[in-house]
Amino acid sequence: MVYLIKKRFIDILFIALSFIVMFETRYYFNNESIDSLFPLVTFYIWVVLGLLVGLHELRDVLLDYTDDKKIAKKLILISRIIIWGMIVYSIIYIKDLI
Amino acid sequence: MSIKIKYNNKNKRNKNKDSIRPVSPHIQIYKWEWTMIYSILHRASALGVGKIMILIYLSVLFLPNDISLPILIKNYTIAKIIYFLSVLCINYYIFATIKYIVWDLAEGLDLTTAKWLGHSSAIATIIFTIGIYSYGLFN
Repeated sequence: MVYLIKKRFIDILFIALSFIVMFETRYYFNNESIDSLFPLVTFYIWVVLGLLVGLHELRDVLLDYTDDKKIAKKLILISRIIIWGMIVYSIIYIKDLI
Repeated sequence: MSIKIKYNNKNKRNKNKDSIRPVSPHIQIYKWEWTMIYSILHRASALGVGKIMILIYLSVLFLPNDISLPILIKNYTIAKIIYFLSVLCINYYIFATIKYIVWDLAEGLDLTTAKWLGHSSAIATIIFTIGIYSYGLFN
């Protein structure tokens, strides 16, 4: 239940940010000068959330085909390491831009 | 009197291996339904979303400074195709998730409504994909 709520929360955030990113595509495609960091930060958060979505689904698919909880636990650990790595990288990247 | 059975993971795995049963989601035995197709597509699109994000991250890491993703998309056909598929994938995931959120609220669970929710999410995906693809490339 907690997992489902967490998953739906991430989904809702991802959807909301997707709509923002969609309307900001002009910045990325027309090389317009970005006045604020808002488009960049939303884009990076969107990417991290998208990764979370993909990893959650991968875990669900694997759990469909196996009853082995060990695989799920390993996958959770790997996904957490990847995601935290990417969050830290994003923060460093955005900090450099400021 | 209750009987306790020692049932560890290893036994469970062997039991599943020994019984020749189809693996979930039972594609081999069920008749194909629209709801089933949309469910599989939702899974596939979610996995696709993950792959797209990895691609974006790798492009940020390894592309030279003067080349960006939009430049690649504007100049190469293969990049245009990947961009189109990515937009399609993300859009389908968005609309299918909205459908799942509606179901989580215990609405639209009867078969006919569920089927039409699936159809409407697919139609919305196509309209949004064409719109965003054109907006991104030709605006």
